[in-house]
Amino acid sequence: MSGAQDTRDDLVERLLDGRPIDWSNATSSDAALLDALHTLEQVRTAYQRIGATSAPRAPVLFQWGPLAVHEKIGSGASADVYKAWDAGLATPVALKLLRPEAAAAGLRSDEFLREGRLLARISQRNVLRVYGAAVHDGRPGLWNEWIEGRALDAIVEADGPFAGAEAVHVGIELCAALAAIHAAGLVHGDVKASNVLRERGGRIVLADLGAAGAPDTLNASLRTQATPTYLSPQSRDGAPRAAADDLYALGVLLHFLSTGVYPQNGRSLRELKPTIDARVAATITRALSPDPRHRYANAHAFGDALLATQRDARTVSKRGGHRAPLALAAILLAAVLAGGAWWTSRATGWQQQVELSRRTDAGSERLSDGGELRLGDRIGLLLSSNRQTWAYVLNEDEAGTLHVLFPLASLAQANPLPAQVETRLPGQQGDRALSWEVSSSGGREEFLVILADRPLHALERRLAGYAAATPEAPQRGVGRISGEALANVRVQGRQLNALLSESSAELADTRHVRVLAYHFDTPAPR
Amino acid sequence: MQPEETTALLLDRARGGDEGARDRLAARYLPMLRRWAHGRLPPSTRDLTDTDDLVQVTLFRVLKQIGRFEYGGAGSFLAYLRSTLLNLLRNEIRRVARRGESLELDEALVEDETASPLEQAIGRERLERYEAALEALPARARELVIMRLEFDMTYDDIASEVQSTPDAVRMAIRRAVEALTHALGERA
Repeated sequence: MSGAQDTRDDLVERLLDGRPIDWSNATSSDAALLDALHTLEQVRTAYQRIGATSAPRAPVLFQWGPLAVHEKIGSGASADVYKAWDAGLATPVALKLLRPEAAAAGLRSDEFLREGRLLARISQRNVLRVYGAAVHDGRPGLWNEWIEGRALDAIVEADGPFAGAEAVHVGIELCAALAAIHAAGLVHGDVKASNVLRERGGRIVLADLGAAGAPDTLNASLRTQATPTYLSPQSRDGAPRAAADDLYALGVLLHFLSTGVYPQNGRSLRELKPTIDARVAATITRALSPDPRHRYANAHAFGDALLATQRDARTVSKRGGHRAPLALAAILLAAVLAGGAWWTSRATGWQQQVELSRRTDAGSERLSDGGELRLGDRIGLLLSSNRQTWAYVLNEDEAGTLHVLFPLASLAQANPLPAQVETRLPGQQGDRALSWEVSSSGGREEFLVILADRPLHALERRLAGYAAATPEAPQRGVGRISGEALANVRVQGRQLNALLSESSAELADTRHVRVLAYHFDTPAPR
Repeated sequence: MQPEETTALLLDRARGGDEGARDRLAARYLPMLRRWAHGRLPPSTRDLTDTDDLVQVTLFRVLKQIGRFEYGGAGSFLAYLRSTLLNLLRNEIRRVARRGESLELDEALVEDETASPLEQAIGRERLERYEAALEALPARARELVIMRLEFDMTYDDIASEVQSTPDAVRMAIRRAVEALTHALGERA
C-alpha cells in the first residue's frame, strides 16, 4: 500500500473512531480529499456537541445576543475580543465587538456586518470559521470558532525558525485558505505570523478575518491597520490593496518562518539560512519579487509551486540521496539532574538517568511527581547513560489513542542514543529544538518510556503499526514514575496495556531493559 | 439474559398492535432524534422545548401509522424517521422565513437567524454538499453513515440495529465513508 493510501486510511479510521485527526500528518497533495474529510469531521463533532454539552461554569461578564461572554482576551484598534459561549452551538467562540470609537474612525457597522456575513459563507478548513455577525444592544459583533493552539510568531519566538518542510506545509495550507477567501471576492488584508494559528492536532488556521473585506471597503477603512513589514512595495506606495498583496504577505510570512527574520535588502534567503532547500528558497523568493508580474498569478499557482518542492523532496529521499544535514549536536542543558530517575542494573553495570522536563523562558524545569501540565507546555526527556541506549517513548490519551513519540522517521535524532552524552528527546529538526507539546486539557494521559542497551526488534515491529507523532505533536501532563521492573509498571491505557503484555517477553529482561510509566493529569482551563 | 429486541422485531410487534413494542420503539428513538434535531432548527424558529415537541409529535405520528411503513431492512427505520423529520424541519424553517419577510426584517439578519446551528457550525453550502453526497450513496451505505456520524451510535449498537456483527459493520461504514469522501470531493 502506498504512503498516501496509508495516510488516507488512517484519517478515515480516526474520523470513524472519533479520534482527533492529525492534520499536520496529512499530505497536502489531495486537497479535495482532505477537505471532504474535514467536512465529515465537522458534521460528526457538530452533532456530538449540539444538544450535549453544558455551558462552562466560569462567571459571565455580560450577555450579548445568543452569547454568554466570559472573558476579555484582547483589544485591537477598533474592536475588543472576548471568549464567549454559544449555547446554540454548544461551543466556546471568540467574539469581536466593534468599539463605538471605531465608527468615528470611519469603520461603518453595516459594512462590518456585511463583511462578517460574507466571511461566514467561507467554509474552508484553513480559514477561521466565522459563525455570524449581528448587532445586539447597539454593539456590532462578529463571532467565530475558538482555536486552542498557538500563533506562528509565538512558536518561532519560543522554538526558533521552522524547518524547510514545515514552512512549506504551512505555506500550502495558507494558499488553500487564501484561494477560498479570494474566490469569495474578498481580500484578507493582514496575513502575518500572529494571525496564523496552529491548532492542536496540527490544523493551520488563518485568523483575524475581522480585517478582511471586499477590496473597496478594506482600502477605505482598514489600510492603516495592516502591518507594514508585510506590505508589498505597491501597497506601500499607496496602490489599492488586492488579492496579490495577500500572496506577497504570505511570502514575507514564509521567509520569517524559515529564518526567524523578515526579508532584508541585500540578503538572500539562502544567505540567511544556508541549510534551506534551494527550490524552497526560490519559491519563497519569487513570491517576494518587487515586480508583481514576476510573482505568482494567484494562490493556486503559489500553492502548486510549494507542493512541487514537497514532491521533489520526497523523490530525493526515496532515492536515498540527500539527507538533511544533521544539525544535531548534544543539547547540553545545564540542568541539575538531582531528583531525576536514576537506575543501575546491578547485573550488567548499565546506568542511566532520566528526567522529564518542561521548557520555560529560563531554560527547563523538572516535572515533579504528581505535577500538572497546562495547555501549551513543551516537554522533553533528558537522558544520559553510560552505554548506547535505544529509547522508545509512547503516549496514550484518555480516548485510547496511542502515539509513538520516539523514535520517528521524521526526526534527525534516532536510536541508538550516544553514551556519555546528555541527550534531550525528541531532539532537533533543522536548527529548532523540538518538544512534545501539550495540546489538549481536561483529561488524563499516560506516557511510557522504554530504555534498552540493545535494540528491541519485536517492540519496533509492533510500534510500526501505531500512529507516529509529528514534531510538536500532542503530549500532555506528567505525574509519577511508577516502577522499574515490568511487573511493577501500572498503566491504565488499554493500548499501552496490550502493548506491554504483547511485548512482555522482550521487556521483562531487567538487565537490559527499563520501563517507566508516567501518569498525566491535564486540568481544564478555568 | 434476554435476547435484545431488534428494531425489526419491535416493528413487527408494533404493526401487530403491540402497544408495549410501540412504546419501546419510542423510548429507543426519541432521545436520539431530539438531540439530532437540536442541530437542525434555527434559533429564530422555535426554542428547544418546541423542537422537542416537534420531534415527539413526529415520532408518535409515524408510530401510529406504523402499518404503512414498509420495513426495508437494516437501519431503514431510523433513516426513515430522519428524512421525515428533516422535511418537517425544512418546512418549519421556510414558514418562519416567510414570516420574517412579511415583517420586513433586514434581509441579512433574517439570513443569520435562519441558519440552524449545524449550518452555522459547518457552513450552509458545505452542509448542502454533504447532504447531496449522502443522498447519492446507496441506501444501505447512507444509513450506516448516518448512524455513525450523525447519531453517534457505537458499532455494537449499529450491528444490533442492522442484525450484523460489529466487525462487518465497521468495514461497511469505512467503505461507505470512503465513497462519501469521493462524492464530496467531486462536488467541491
